[in-house]
Amino acid sequence: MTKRRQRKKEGSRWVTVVAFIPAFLLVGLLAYLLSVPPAPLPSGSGTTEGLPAAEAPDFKLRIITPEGLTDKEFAFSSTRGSVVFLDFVFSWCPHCNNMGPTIKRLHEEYSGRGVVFVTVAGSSGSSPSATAKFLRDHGVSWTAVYDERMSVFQLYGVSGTPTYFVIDRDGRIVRELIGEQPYEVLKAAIEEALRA
Amino acid sequence: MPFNRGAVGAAASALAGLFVSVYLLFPEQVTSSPYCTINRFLSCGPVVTGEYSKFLGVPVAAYGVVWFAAASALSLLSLRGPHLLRYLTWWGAVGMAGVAYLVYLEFFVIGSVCVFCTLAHLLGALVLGFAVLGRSEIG
Repeated sequence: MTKRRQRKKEGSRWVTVVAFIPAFLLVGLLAYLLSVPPAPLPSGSGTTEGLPAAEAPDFKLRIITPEGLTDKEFAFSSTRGSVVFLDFVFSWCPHCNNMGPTIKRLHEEYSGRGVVFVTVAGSSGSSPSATAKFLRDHGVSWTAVYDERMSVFQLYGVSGTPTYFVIDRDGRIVRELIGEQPYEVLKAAIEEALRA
Repeated sequence: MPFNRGAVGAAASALAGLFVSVYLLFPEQVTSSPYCTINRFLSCGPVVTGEYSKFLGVPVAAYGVVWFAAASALSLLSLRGPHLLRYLTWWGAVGMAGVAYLVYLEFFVIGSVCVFCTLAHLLGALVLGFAVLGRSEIG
């Protein structure tokens, strides 16, 4: 009888240990996640001047419209000779959604002055249909491309969204702005590129 | 009557989980946190605001709130009636099935892992562990 009770107790101890296995695994996962050093963030109002006078890397990506992903390709080299406003976004990014009206207003003011607007939409956590909806929601009528492999995000060193690059007529990056920006800050960056 | 350690642990984990899942209901707040975007992989943005942040039109975090609220109630009640730990164990097992699916989505579908969500998953797993521990204490 005592032996039976002891065996039952032993079995119950094992069940308890097994029941804690998911918790142990998740503690391990959490410890791993938190041991990775934090990187600079797309804070909300942070402004950085990155790669001053560095040449904007060339790229080719498929064009996405408010209707969806197309087979047409956009080559960044085709913008050479124009001031370019390059805008990196994710469809799910709240800050990018907040900035939608500001970018549209900039486009209305500067497209007539020869500034080329290009939106690069990331695929991480998104899809062509979600990105097309984002373009529809914000009335994006300028060129938008879909970065399926996140290769252009890497090429430009984009670690958070939105990130804006203002590029002058010679293809040099004049300004890199990270996070939500006031209209005046973006306008000043474009004016600087137009003067350059 | 002595406290059942399992019930106490489960109640503490469930209440902490309730707090975290309520926080996850506010994606704007979550994505503004410095622990949100650590790098491209460790980023809560795609998880809490992306395509898979909702199930049947309801934020996944809301399911977490409901799960932890029920777990909190059951574990607090089981402080006085340890027989309720049996139901908490089953509730914990249901929760872990959900966690397994969510972790799968993070790693293999979304391609991003949310630290806050992982913390909530851990607290859910602790509720299950403590519920079983509590049952073993009552024999």
